[in-house]
Amino acid sequence: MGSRENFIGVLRFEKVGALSLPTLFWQIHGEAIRRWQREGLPKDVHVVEYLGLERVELMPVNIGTLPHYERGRLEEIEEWRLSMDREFKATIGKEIEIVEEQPPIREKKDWEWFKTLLNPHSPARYPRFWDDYKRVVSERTYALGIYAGSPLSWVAEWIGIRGFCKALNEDRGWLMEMIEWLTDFIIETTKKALSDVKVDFALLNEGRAYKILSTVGDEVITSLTRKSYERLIGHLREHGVELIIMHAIGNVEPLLQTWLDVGINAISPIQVASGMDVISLRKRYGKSLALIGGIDREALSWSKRDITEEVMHKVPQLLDEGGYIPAPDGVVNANVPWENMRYCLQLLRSIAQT
Amino acid sequence: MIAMRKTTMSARERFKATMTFGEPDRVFYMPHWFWSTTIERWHTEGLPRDVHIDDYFGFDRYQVVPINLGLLPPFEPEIYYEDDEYRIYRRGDGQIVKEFKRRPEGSMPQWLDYALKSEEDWERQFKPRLNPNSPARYPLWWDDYVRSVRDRDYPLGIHLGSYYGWLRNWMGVENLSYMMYDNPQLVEEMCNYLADFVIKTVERALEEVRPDFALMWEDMAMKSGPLCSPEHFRRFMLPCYKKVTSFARSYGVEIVLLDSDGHVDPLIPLWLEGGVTGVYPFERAAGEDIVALRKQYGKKLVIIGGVDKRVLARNEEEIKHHLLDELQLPWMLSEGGYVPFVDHAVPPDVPLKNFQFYWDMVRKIAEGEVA
Repeated sequence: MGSRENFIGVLRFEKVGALSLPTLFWQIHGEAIRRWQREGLPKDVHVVEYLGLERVELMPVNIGTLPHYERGRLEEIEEWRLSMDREFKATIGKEIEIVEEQPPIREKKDWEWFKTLLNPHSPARYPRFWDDYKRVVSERTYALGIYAGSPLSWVAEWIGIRGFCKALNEDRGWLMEMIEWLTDFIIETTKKALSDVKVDFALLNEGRAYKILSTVGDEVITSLTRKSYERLIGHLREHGVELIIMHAIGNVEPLLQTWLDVGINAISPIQVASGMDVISLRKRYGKSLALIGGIDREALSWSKRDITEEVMHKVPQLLDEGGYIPAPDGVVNANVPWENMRYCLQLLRSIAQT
Repeated sequence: MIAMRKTTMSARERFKATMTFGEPDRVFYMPHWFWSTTIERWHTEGLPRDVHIDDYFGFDRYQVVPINLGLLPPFEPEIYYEDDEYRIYRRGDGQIVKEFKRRPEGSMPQWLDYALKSEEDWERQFKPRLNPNSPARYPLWWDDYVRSVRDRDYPLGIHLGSYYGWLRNWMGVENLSYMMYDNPQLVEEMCNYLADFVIKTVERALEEVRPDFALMWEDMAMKSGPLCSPEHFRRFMLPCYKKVTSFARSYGVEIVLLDSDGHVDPLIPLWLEGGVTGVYPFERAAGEDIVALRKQYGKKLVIIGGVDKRVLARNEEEIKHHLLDELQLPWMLSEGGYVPFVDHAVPPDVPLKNFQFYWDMVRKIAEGEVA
């Protein structure tokens, strides 16, 4: 069985022969790689190949703001830099964290302007040689997905959480209008890709779901997004995409039933630090929800004993039941020693073999 | 977006026909080089921001097998000093440079030091970084890449390295020049090692993807002439050229294009002897005259470039005069083996409308709309 069938099979709860460790869900921070190189990882190898991860990719269809904007540096001193990135977030720190926002949309007229950056027919949304790309991926051996965006999180990002809450009280219709407009935009942009290429899965991303959830509650989110998700997932299904993965940061458990109702059937990365737990999710949702992630990435930075405990507590049972891809619950950071990373992968492989 | 006339050849067929003095349906439209600041300027002058630039101008497609022939791993970047205006740091190739922090691409850095000074540096710091068997020299998922280029309709190239330019980058012009006199054995050894390294590295790709052409890079001339004498080139570099180009030729690679700025005329016969078939970009400011070169070399030399970037900054009348009178574009194109191309990256003093005028005129001549 190839990696494509393996990845799809696992998430469909089918019995597959091999452990799936997909690149898309084993993201490694550049600083971690530099640390590992100091600790023994050869410097002239492809890390994902060296670690034996499997190729799983998203189609290079750009559904972001286009054109992109150059970073504008606002201020820089020795330890930190305050800059304005291409989506107008003011970021602090030299690569790592976003601390404060200066949202680009502060009033309705900003939104009208902002929409000009979201033309679904911009030629550069698709790779330059799309016909050739289609030819190449039609014979692929790896799983290929399509990124289907995150209308709710985008709106929250572009108007800011404060703006979001204000609009919620004063002009909820505007929020709905933006979410619906973005849903149309995603559908229009991805139509050609989905018609031309048979993709294996779709990836939705609600990067700010938890932040919004903790601010406004799940009922509000559901009322704002349900229709959007239904339309988006209907569009994906029309094009034969059955496997729909929601990548959501934070404790999004209150939203899960809604997501299941609208057709999402897998979730990642299942953040342990925010109280998510793969075992209890499996108990609650059974085979209606495939799980990707859930291994506490912090545990990877502790001792081998801690890693064993974390992995053995979750992975054997879930691998046995199917519908589970073991992966860290976020990007593997530089606090993880090389020895631990190797040990973790070794342990996962040995569990899969037994 | 520029409307293109219907063509009858694939880009791959057109490239091969152009580069071998054959009969293409029209000349191969080589994607031009632009400074990022030029594109920024053009965005303010009407160039759409959401297009693929090469598509917008109607350039043909070519690609190069993504094999890493560089130092692997590169030297760790290290900043030694910085203030508001500039920084001094070590680059991946070991150079220590001082450059402006703002828009460093807009000016040349000041080179302060190099990593390769002695035989010991070569043995300890460089040879271990030039291991042809390093897995990361080839792209991830190589087998899939091979499959993806098998039925291509565009030309695919492969790099065959650099035998002056790399050493110059690692040592500096001055140090390399001295070493050619003080320790010629070491220069010979390094050149030979590089040729063997390149051959070992690219062999698998030559076998598995059968590229259509090869590229070499040197940038080994200044405005008034080469950075090393033809005699030194003959002694140190020419054997490497012969070795790598004949190796590539044994895999069917007959087209070998070499990139070097500056006044390269004294080196052209040596490059041709070494198996190179075409040269670019022929800098007008360095006295390169493509019409004279065509007359001198006939069909022995494919010429790519020669369009004076400084003229493109002026006006339509001067561009027209340059293309028709100085470069004799209709004649050059009718002779074959010539690819219109600006003599380096298009700089930001060129207005979009001038570039469009230039390119439109090239197209009209190439497609027979202008006699």
